[in-house]
Amino acid sequence: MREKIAIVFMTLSAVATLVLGGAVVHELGKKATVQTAANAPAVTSSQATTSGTGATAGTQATQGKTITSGGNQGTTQVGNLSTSSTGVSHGVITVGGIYDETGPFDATVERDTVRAYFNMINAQGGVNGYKFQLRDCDSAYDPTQAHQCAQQMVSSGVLAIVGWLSVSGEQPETPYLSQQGVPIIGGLGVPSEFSSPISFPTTANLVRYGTAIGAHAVDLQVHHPGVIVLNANFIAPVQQALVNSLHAHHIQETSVNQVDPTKADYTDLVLKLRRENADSVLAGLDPFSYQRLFQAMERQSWFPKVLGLGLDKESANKDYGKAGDGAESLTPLLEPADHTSQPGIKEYVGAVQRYFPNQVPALDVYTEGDWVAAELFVEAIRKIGTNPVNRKSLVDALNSITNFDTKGLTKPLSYSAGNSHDPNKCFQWIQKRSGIWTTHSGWNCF
Amino acid sequence: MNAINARRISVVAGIVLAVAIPAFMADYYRSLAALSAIAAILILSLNVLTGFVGQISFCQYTFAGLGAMTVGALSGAQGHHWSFWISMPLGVLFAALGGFLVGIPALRLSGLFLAILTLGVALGADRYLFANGTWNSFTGGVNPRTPSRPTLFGYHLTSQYSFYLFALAAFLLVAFLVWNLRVGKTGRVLRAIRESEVAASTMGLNLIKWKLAAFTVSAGIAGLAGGLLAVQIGSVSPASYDFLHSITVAAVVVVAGVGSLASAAVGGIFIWWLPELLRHTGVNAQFFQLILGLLLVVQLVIAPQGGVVKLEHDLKRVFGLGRRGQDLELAEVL
Amino acid sequence: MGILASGWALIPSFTVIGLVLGGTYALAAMGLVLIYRVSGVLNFAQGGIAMFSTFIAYQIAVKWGLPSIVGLFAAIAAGMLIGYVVERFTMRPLTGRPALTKVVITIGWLLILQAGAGLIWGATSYHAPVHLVSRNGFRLVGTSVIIGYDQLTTLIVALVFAFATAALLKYTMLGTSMRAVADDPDTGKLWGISVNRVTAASWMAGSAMAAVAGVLITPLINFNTYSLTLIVIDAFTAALIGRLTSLPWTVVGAMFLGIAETYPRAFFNGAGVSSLVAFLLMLVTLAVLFRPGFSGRRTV
Repeated sequence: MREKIAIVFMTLSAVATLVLGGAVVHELGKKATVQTAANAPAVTSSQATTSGTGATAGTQATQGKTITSGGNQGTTQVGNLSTSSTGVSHGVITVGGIYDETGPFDATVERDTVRAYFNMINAQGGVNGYKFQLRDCDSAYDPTQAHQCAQQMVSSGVLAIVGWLSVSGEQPETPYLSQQGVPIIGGLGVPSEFSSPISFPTTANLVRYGTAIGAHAVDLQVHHPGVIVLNANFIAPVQQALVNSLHAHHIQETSVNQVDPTKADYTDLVLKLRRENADSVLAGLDPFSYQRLFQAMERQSWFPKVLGLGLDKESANKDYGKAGDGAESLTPLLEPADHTSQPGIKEYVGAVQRYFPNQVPALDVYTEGDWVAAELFVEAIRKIGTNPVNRKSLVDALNSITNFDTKGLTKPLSYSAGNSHDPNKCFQWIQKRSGIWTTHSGWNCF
Repeated sequence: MNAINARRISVVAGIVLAVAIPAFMADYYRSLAALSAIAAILILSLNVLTGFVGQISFCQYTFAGLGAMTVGALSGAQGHHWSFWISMPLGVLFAALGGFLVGIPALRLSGLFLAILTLGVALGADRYLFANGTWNSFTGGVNPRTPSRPTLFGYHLTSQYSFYLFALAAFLLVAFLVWNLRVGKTGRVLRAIRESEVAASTMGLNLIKWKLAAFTVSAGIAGLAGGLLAVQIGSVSPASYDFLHSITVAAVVVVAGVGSLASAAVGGIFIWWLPELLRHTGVNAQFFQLILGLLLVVQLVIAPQGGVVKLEHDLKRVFGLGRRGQDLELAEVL
Repeated sequence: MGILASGWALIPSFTVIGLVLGGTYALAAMGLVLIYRVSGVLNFAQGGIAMFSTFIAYQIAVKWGLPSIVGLFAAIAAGMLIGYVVERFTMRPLTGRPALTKVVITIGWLLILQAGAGLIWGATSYHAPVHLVSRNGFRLVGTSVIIGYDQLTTLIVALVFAFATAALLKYTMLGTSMRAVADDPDTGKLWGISVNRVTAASWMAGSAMAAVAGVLITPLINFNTYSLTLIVIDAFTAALIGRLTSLPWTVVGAMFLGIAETYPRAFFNGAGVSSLVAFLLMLVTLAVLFRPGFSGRRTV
């Protein structure tokens, strides 16, 4: 009898092969992820646009929406903002942060930067009688773990998410957290953070980065750049904006290449770009991927102009080698390397130096963005004054902030009630000259 | 009181506790309890292979991933919106097929080289089948799939407690199935194969059929666990089903022991509650891996049959119930 | 997967790239094969030992700024120590048990080493590797590829290890003892060979080779707690081609595997193609080269 069951089981499995195996074959026949300039990939990311039950417990799936071009997508549905004292107890405000603490990226420095800011504020006596603490969770570059972290943040009751950095988690979790009514402050600048009423980014939209890189390519008089980007789940509109920007300036890229952050050897890509006669490389990668790219370029003695974002991380810089000289990076924040005596920079670097000295070489544009996020959050708490601190009063306070100084780390930031926030639209160009990052432009706003 | 009654009472008591305790927990802990039940199902799948046929497998999470991604692809918001009750069985079947295919080369390999094969399967899946770009309509690529909770007899299992009960029921069902196999003719056949393949084949048993069936069933159960995992968490991505997870669950099986319901349950609880405990005491969650490795090494050097199974034996001896001869020792496998 | 029409033109360059990749596999496989030959244990923790030793070198050379060569020696010492501890305390007490038990123990050690390194130095890829040899290179005549000296070194060291170990096993007293122990430890004891010492020596030598492999390979791959373990699986395949006994043939197998993994990338764009080839090769080697009844080494 049991034998018969096993046989039936195996037969059904064989039938399943025909159905699902056929799908494999069909898929393999499709084109690769490497696109030529003409193809825009229809990569979906979850955006909630239908009515959800919002703030109730339980993990509702969100309706998917296809993004075919960059720019503003639909607005994220927001759950009711709670007026209870979630995240506030006994004079301590608890906020949450999701970070890629293990895996291909190391976002512990972003976590420690936010902690350093809170330590500094707490040492000064706190704000309005409140001290601050950060609860972190490791997303390990796994969107499923990021989702579990988000669920944990919601159920353990943090006041808000402040200064997070989860490369694969921010894009899908921003709509989820917004549905649960959890305000989000700071982050990488992924597109979904710019379409939620309770997400308050401090850095520029990555899509805008794409446009800016394309525009600067013109200034540098490059004619046929090769484009390399990380295959993150938010990259499609960024890539599209970059390519559109190039075309708008009559520049044709030689190819567009998506790479995995675990790609160890860039030799094949270097050979390919060189054969395509690319005269420059426009790259959107993480700092250590840039390092591996530069090492492959140096080994092959190929030194085109390189233009990207977030290159200025000292711990990665050390090994950029010859290929990194003259590389240009854009940043929506003040570059610390050549503004060391600027008061805001001194406070930022000084706090990290005092509380987490090992992390100082790892500071980069993303840590600075999260530092500003922490500044913004504490400023909002200050504004709440003696009123009760809850998610609703936090959001109202944030929406009332105009021309926030950030101690000069960015142009003044303004927020207001509405479907989304996009306060930081300006970039500076920095270049690695003789080993030091130097700012060589004013603020360019897009 | 004899052994059968003692067993029945302890099982009933266990079920009552398992239903009652999470009723008083917060939702987050209930979700951990559900994850434990699902992990216990995965451990049972490994039991089928290890305890019965003497083969060890380092790719159970790969099969779980096949099940989970089927559910994600077919029921997810970005997918086809099929009902869970269609996508789940398809996931189980697809995983079972995977097990069948792995079983074919595994037939002529034993012990050591079978381990290499399963490790190769796990890594091959990680780096090729589940990798971004190979089969994105199945795996989702860099975008996670978000399947929603199923509806059972008109009742939407959104609340965490209700889904926990559902997962618990699934675990008990699978445990019953596995126990049934063990005490019945099938179990005796498989144990005979484990004891001595040569003797078994001289008695006329078709080794190929039975070993393939064991692989298929084991993978199918793992696929079931994967599908449940998909809807419990509400997010599916390939990184959660990699070879490190497979190695971890294999290690837990060795530490907890093979062949008893209790060891599967303890293993499941261990996988999810120890990291939570570490988090609470402020210790880095990576200590979990370290502790598991240490337990594994110490375990094998000192007590190879597995901690929980050994405890059961000791308890039975204390109560004078003796061994029934049906419990399986890992020592006989390893 | 899209097909690149320009594929054929890249073949000479990709041959070089493939041989370099094979060199890393060969180096990773050396210690593995030695340990397997003498003690009968397939050391799944080989990559973990290499990784941990390399992190020791990293701590000394990159964090503390001492010369890389000091880091290398520290790594070798660390590797030998780990190898000794593993053999003495977790392999020797299990004499007589099936090989699979010992393999599962090495899995335990893998978890320990991986978690330990992650806790001490961080389980991320953000570590600048130890550069023992210069990244510069020379252009290979007829191709557009420049081979780095560090890449070439992995190949040369692998060959040196292979032939030196083969010579050691064949011509020296220690080597003969090792072969005796591998064939039949009981008879070996009758001849007065200290089985324990010989087995420990093989583990220490294999782990030392792992340490050297780790320090040389990490500049070419991602430097984190798991990449070296992943490489070891490819090294297994190479070792299987060498039938798990012959070191020079392991090198050949590694070269073959490296080229087989690299050529498809000239024609297909998907990065996963290399992994597919690796997996299929492993399957074929396991299925073809090993007959039923060949249960590997007898229990030692």
